[in-house]
Amino acid sequence: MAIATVAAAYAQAGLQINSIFGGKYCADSTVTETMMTGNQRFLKKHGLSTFATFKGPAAKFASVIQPLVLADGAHATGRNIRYSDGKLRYAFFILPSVERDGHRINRYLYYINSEGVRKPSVIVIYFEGRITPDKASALINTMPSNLKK
Amino acid sequence: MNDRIDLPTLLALLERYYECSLSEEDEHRLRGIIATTPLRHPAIDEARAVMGFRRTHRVAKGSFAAGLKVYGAVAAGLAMLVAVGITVQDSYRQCDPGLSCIAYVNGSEVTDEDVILRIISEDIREFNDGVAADNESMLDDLDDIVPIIDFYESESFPKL
Repeated sequence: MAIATVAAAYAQAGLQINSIFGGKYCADSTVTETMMTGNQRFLKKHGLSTFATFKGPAAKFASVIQPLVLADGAHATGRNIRYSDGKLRYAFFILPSVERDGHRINRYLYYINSEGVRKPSVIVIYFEGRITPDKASALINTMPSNLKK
Repeated sequence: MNDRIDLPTLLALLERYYECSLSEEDEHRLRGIIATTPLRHPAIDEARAVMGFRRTHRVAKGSFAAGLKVYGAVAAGLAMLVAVGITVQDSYRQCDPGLSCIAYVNGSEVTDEDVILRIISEDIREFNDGVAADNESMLDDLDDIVPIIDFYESESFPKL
């Protein structure tokens, strides 16, 4: 029962991109990774249960992360993706929602490979919760300027 | 905050709870109300799920044994929540189990929520900058295509 509860409590489990989180690259000085889960005030404010980001140099991580993002995106119910020179440059996926304690948990996955800029990097943003697609987009667009706990 | 609360007031408090506008003391009291209130509403069920409380059946008012069951269920729920939290984080975090707010920056671990929020904000700012640059690149590509489309739609393009 405990195992089932754990699995249900963590909707990100089962996704390919889960393999880049969880501290796998915590010793890599080129990587920035964040993970918020549980009863954080920031999460509650935005109707979220998990928020995670990963940033690493494009040259090192694009080939690792692109297949994972595309594998998860293959099951998406909504998507916006762009390729350039045969590489995935931008992706936004609305992943299939999951049920937890009788409630629908919406899941969103963002990816960008900004190889054209001065410091090329790959960034993955994943979050899940009751948040609607419109509010998810608004959160990403306004969060840097409006971030409050 | 009164434990004998009516439904509209309770729903309003729940809204404030999700907006994080309750004081910690009021939030603590609200959790107590949510755990024991006889009121029924989907929002209350959802709050119980969010707060980690689960009730499987209604309890007769004034019954000591039933009251014990409620508190027992709450205690068991809290214990399970703690156990689940530890288990989830333990299996999920290889580097530092037991934390629900954590970051790794340049090989160092960060657990301060404010610092982590700033890191997240910076990552998203960089993400948005990347998206803007990608949009400009796409517009440049479209600029290259526009003359071709114009030519195709012009009189000088041979009719098929």
